[in-house]
Amino acid sequence: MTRRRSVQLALMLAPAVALIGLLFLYPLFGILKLSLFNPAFTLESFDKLRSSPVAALVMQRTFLLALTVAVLCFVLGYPIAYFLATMRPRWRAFFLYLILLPFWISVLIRTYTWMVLLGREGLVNGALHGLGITDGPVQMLFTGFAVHLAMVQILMPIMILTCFAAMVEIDPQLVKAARTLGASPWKAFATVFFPMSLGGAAAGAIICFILGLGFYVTPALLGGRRNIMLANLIDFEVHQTLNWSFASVLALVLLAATLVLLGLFRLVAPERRLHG
Amino acid sequence: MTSLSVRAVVSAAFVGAAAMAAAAQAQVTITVNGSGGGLAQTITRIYEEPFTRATGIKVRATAPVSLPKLKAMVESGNVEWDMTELGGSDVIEATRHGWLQPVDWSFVDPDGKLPAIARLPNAMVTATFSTVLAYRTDKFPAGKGPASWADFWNVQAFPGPRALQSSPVGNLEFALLADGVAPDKLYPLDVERAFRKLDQIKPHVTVWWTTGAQHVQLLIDGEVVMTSVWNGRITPLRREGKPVAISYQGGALQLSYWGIPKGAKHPKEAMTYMRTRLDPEKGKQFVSEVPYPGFIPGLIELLDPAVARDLPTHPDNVAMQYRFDPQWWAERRAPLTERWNAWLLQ
Amino acid sequence: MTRVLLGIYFAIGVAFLVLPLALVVPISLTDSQFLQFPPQRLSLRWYREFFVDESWVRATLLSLQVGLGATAVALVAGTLAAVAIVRGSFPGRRLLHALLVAPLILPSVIVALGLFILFLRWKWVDSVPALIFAHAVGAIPYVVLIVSASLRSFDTTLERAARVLGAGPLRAFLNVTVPYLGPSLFAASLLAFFASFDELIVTLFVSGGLQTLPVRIWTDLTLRLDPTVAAAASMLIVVSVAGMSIAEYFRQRNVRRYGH
Repeated sequence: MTRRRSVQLALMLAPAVALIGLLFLYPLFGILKLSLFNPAFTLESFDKLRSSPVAALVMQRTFLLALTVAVLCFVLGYPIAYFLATMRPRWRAFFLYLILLPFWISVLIRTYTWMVLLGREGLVNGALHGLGITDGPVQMLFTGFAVHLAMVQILMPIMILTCFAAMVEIDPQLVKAARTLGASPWKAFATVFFPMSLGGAAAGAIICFILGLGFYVTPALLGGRRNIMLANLIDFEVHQTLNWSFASVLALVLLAATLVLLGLFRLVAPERRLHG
Repeated sequence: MTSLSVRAVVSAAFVGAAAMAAAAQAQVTITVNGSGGGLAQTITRIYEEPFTRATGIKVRATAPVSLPKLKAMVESGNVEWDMTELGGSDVIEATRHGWLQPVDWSFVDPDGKLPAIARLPNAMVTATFSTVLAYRTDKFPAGKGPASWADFWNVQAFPGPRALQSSPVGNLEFALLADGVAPDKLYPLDVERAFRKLDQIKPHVTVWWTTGAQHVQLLIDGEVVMTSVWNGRITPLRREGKPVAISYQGGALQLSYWGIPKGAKHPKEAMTYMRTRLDPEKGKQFVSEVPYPGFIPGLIELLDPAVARDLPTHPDNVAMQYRFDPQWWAERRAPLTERWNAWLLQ
Repeated sequence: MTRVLLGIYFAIGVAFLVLPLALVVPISLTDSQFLQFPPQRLSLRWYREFFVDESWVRATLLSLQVGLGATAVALVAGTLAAVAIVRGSFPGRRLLHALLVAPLILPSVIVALGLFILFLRWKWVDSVPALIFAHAVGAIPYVVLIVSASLRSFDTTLERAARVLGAGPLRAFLNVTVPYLGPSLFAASLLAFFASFDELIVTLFVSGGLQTLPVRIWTDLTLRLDPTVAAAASMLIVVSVAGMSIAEYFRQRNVRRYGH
């Protein structure tokens, strides 16, 4: 019986294990191998990582950009999640649906909408000019500003959702109790609600940070050539300079950064499972 | 539109595409890589479609031209292209690495109609073109547009955002010309001086374009008021009445080739297609729309003087341009590209 | 008072998230060569262009084909694995679960590079089946997450009751558990399908000459910007919103029926 059961289990797991093993783990191993062999064993590509000014700049910028976006998502998204969590349930479902809507539309399309809106002769410039705020077109497309703006818009639903999930679990009676004991609304929020929601909020910000590190489409389309991120540099090394070994080293850097942040995520929210 | 008719349109389109796909399987399709954009549509109409009607060989056009992609294909053995467009320094580098196969000239041009300059052992000159300065005529007083690279650098007299190609090739020359170097004294390039000059224009360049269709779009959308362009992209826009113009002053006269990658699946069919470029009647038709003349003998004589005036090979225009040196670039492209990228990010 | 200010901020925030998408649809209805808002004259010109242009239609068909294939692979492999992980007890099941979900959080450029190197060696570039399996990797996390969450909230006493009443384990599973899972499986396949349908980066690396719809849009965006892209984007937005609303409807219905 138990043997039959374990054979059955193995059969059930086989397709998924084959898929993930062959087309996910094995390629990761291939990247590791390529970074060290070109074709004989060499540390040349790792040396290049230290000596190449382009790689250093791009890594630094990618990290800073993803961090800024994560912080912005946190600061801007937290009040939205709070309002949502303290709203009447009937409205809540509707707004939750609305906020999650963009989440199911591809990043490519969502980035494209910003290309349309931010052009020199686009809608935003037209509105600014029409309202008399600016006299001439402002350069927005192909700037770092455009990349920040679009990334915040693309990642914020994830922040709001994670934050919201943590907030609805807070017992409203606790805040009420603090109020009864004489705390002002602000004080009750700051001493009771905020600390209890911080774990979820931090978890959301870290997820935004991780996803932000790997952005490719948005910086490529909105940033001009001057605001490329690590993923774009990897693409450039693969398709333009054809230095696949160096591309692998850069991919390993990105992988390592992601894993470190995932570790941090576990630390902040040990009980929370990703997307669980 | 009602949902029913939307559904009808969708299903009709799908059925049609499925039928086309089924028909395509029965015949040979060659993949010809070029630089895309509006030019590709002209090529389809003048060369590809009549060719398919005459021979039954279908032509699939891909873009853009990329030497590293060629390398990847040849070295991995997965050669997608049967023929590809190549720039001057591309041909030199591809030949050095052995990525191209020889052209059978006894088949392509048995009567020796092409001049020697157009017949390389492994490539054929299909076009001449020039990278020149283009600008929006409506953004400057009439007749007062930028006329040289010195004007391009002069942001006081000619204000507005600019675009340049995201590549050191060409831009180093333009910077030196803007800095007062004589066109015939350009090579070997003074790289340090060129980058110093480029530092001055960098804050005013809002976009660094990467493909030939992008720069035109930037100009039309008003994202920039001037940019470097490939001369042929502007002619159709002028014909449509768009407010754009070019200046040949300081343009880079270059040759463009067709080569067949080593390991291509249909070299014979590709060479058959190559032969269509020897037809002066088609050449005339092509050049009247896109001013990228090849070396077809007798072509210029066939042309209307107004069309000939627009060509980079017209004597007046030749006098204003410098002669691009692919040999100098072939050896230095990789390190200068690395330096260019670093410079761009700083 | 604070609440009112917060409400205003909330409205602005939601508009910031949703409005850009809503604006593309009217922009796509322009008659002009260029994108304008508001459009001068309404026209379906660019929608017609989409369906007349062979390359757009071919790309759409390929995306549908790959999407359906990847969904089938991910659904079968993911559901079986989720059942085994939730119901079975074996060492490393948490690790396996984490691995199956990992493609969701890992930057796709890493997977893209790894698969690119692998496919070049295996000569799998330019192959539709290879693309289907590559997309299934990105789609399987959705199936595993949704199905295992649904299984965890399932009351196994129902299944045990069926066993007591004489049903074999397989029959009990098929007759009791599968109907319960039905809506989740449907939602999982929708999400898996969209994961594949929208996939760009892996496809750019491994597809060779094959053009899926996102790759077609991508080449247009990097080569030129004409309103056909706006038409394509509008249709994708409408399809995605409809798909998600259907998935949400089934999820809600399941919640009502089973009270979770």
